[in-house]
Amino acid sequence: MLDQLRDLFPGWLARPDHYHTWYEQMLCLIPLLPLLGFLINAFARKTISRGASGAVATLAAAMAFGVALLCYMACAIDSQVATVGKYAGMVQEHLQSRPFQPMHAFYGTWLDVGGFRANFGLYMDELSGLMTLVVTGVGTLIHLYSTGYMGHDKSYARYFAYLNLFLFAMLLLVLGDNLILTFVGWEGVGLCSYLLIGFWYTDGDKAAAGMKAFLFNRVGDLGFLLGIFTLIAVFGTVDYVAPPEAAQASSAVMRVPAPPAPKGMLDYAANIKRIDPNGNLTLGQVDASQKLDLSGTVGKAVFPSWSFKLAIGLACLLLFVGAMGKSAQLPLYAWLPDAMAGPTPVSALIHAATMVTAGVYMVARLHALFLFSPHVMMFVAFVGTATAIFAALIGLTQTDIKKVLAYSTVSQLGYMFLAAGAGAFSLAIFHVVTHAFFKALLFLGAGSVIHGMSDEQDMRKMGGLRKHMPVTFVTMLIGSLALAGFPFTAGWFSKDTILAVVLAKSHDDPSFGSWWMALYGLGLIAAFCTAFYTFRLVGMTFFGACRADEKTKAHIHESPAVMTIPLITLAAFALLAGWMWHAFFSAPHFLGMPTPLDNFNMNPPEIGVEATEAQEHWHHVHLVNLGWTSLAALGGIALALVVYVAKGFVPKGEGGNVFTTLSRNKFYLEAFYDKIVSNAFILFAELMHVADVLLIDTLLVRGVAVATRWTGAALRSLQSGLVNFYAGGVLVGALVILYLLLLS
Amino acid sequence: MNAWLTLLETPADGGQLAGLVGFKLASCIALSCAIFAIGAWGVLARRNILLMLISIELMLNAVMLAFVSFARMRAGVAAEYTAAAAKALAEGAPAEAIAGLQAKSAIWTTSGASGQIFGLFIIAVAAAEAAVGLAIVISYYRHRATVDTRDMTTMKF
Amino acid sequence: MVDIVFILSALLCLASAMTIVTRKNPVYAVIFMLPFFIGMAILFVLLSAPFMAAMQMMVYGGAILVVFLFVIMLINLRPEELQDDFNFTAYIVSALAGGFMGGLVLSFALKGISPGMASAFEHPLQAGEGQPAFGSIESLAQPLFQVHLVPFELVSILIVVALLGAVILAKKRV
Repeated sequence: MLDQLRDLFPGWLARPDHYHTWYEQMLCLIPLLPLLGFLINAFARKTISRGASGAVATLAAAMAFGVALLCYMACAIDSQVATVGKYAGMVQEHLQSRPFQPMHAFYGTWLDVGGFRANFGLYMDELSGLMTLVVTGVGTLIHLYSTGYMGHDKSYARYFAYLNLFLFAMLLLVLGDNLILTFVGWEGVGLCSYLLIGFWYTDGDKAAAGMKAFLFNRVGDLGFLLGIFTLIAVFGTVDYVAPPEAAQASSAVMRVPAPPAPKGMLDYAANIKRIDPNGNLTLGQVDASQKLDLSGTVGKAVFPSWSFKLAIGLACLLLFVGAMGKSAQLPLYAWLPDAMAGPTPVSALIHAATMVTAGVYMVARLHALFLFSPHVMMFVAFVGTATAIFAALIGLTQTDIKKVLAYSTVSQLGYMFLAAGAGAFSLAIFHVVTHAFFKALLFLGAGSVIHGMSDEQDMRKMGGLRKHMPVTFVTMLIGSLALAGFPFTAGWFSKDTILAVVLAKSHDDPSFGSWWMALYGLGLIAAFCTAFYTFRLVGMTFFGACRADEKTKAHIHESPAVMTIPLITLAAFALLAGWMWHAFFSAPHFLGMPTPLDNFNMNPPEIGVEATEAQEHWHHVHLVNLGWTSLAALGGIALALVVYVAKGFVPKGEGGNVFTTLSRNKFYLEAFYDKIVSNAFILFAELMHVADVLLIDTLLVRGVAVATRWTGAALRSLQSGLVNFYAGGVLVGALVILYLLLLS
Repeated sequence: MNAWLTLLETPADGGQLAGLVGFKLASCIALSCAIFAIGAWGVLARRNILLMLISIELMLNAVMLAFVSFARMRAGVAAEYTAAAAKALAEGAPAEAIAGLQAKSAIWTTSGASGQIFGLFIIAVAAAEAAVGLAIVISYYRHRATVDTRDMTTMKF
Repeated sequence: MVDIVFILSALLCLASAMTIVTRKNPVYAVIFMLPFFIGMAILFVLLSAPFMAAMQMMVYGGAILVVFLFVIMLINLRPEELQDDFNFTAYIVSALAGGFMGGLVLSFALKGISPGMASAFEHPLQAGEGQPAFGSIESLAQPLFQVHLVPFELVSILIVVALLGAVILAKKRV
């Protein structure tokens, strides 16, 4: 087909740039369509009907998905064009190693202050393109589901307005071509999260949950902001990649001395070849152990390697604090389980599939910077593993169906950060994608259950639902298998490979080797727990006798088609999405990032070439890991089935041994926050109150007033009211001026 | 009026008093300053607002005297240039030199006349000032029955 | 001859100025303004400003002086109200200030004046053929209506405004 196209339009295909511009102008439609939907729903919510409101919102999301798909295809096709052109000798070298041509659209300059510059620009490469597809795709399905789930709610249009606003902010976060624009989206999704958690704001607990989420995110966002400032100080720019030529031209008009050709922060990525076992990185032409000459890339001076690495490490650490807040990592995780107060589709979209993965996306987006600081990477891996095991243990004893899934989300996010910390950024994104499918599926299924159970969320009052809700049961079973890591489901591909990389690291990383082994062990235990609590959920909900009261029991029904269609679609993806794993390994630099195998100084195996020794080693490690993870998953599933299906065990929610008490009470971490952190903060606030009264109020505020009064009283005697005296003042003033004039 | 001037015109070697003081620019300016100082003194020292207004008139007159004195000086310079031009003409100097001297004479004449015109403006402004000032005095006296500035302190804090 | 007239009129001005500012009764002060204005007019004539002298007599001696007298008559101060004590501190301060300023103005004004220019002050004036004598009405009219036309018109507006303002201020009921 491409050949026919080329014959029809030779001008287009011979010049990829020209072909690109069409789609670059369309790129802005992706975030703007949901914004339009938000405006319609926000300002016309009193006038448009419920059906129209839902239709507008769903259509906006669906159209954004369509445009995103078109643009993504254009990038992919363009790369083929580039390959075609390669034979004609018309394409630059770098296109050969990157089978995807990124789109970079420039819509104007936002800030131009001093030497600092931020643009309105959207950037779609493999990473942001994939994320855009997931956000809009899953978002569309959840919009559709919401039209059924929220059917009885009175604030229907307000709900869809928030949902569309969330999509807009999330797409801005993903597609923004600089950190500042990403930060706008970052704050925007935080706002929407707050609004939607507290959607039923008349309930005080739910409003408080929204506030809790907002406050926890504030802590993280402070870190994020400081990280941005650090990066500005180091690079002088916030652009990920060099702005397109249009932006450079407009800047040349503005400034008389032409600035050095701007480069983005990630232009380093092109220079990073690999990181050697000692943690030193080798740039394309420069020996990193001596000096990093960044003058060509960012217009700054030559950095000594260590100070540059220190600054970048600090920036990455601060940025990761932001990711900890947004992606609910220890110790800032506590808001996410409470966020389940929002409507269930919101939990699926925002608090499982998209927003909470923003932290992972940000780390992957800035992977080139994280690669500079192995210690921060190690910290990321530690935090991720700790969160994974911690949340998985809590998930074992939860009885609220949504809480189980919430802790599971926290745990899976921990896996993603473990992958990122191990340097397998593309695997982290792979897990983001598969997790988005199966976790959204599980949440929507849980929503379907809750819907059918007349808003009952306690699993102890469920049971035996598989007969009443067959579609929900089958789809949720698929989602649970994927989450548990059952072989050949989506979750298995991603989680298994993450653990394989960690295991391989334990052999290959001399500086942190045994640490990686510990992380691997913890990851395996978390995988086992995941399988267990997932099938505990399935067993308690769908098997056994129904424990609901009579009135609810009579009312149990399967959900309508608008709710089951998204379930079925997502189930299909949860089953099959894992098969794209091959793309994450076979293509060199997929997602524009080093592949996991790059960490081991290994080129991906090429077809028809003998595997090297390192590749053989990798396959060995992968096989060993395969055994362990399958054992963990199947063991967890089997144990849960025995306890909750065969024996029909129903937890009482109290008592039990030390471990269940600890788990049920979340290891008293939140109690610690309540008692110690809050009280320490209140104590500090009271101290500051005293300081305020003494220092600010008494000394400064009143002091200024008293000083003013005294001065006024002293100077008041000058105001005699006698006009002669004033005339004397004029005379003296005139004399002084004359005298000065005469002196000059 | 020019006839008066010719009457008053005396040879440079005039009387003894003229030798002592002399009708010179410096003495005119000194007189102007003295009158100005007396006026300022009146404004500052007197409490009667009518007398303050009168003192202001004295000050204005002093300034006028200074203006007219400098105008006279400029006229004198212009006359010197005229005389030089006449002399040059008599000696058969080139036409350009004579024209230059005459142009300078015209400039100094005009600037001198401007000095007197400023004096005229001062007279006009003084008249306006006196009219408004006295109207205010009348108005104030009608309300407060006083012209003493020591009683006019209601605007004081 | 000119010097004698100058000295006499200067003394007349100084004496009447001193008298004006020291009179307790404003009527006397206004009466002594007349010799002061006459002395000034004589000085103007000596300084080749006959038109100025005429204006001085007409506007000051004729108009302003009479207005002052009228106002004093309108106010009709009783003798017991005329308790104008002389503030001696202010006397000293203002005398010093005035003297100092006089010196300043003198030096400042003469700073840009060369001795040659100062001596030109005494140069006799001779009007050229066909040209008006300096200080005559004709000689002032030309610059007044050409160079200073706009200020001249503005002054006329000022006087009208002042007149209206004075009427409104002095009226019993507006």
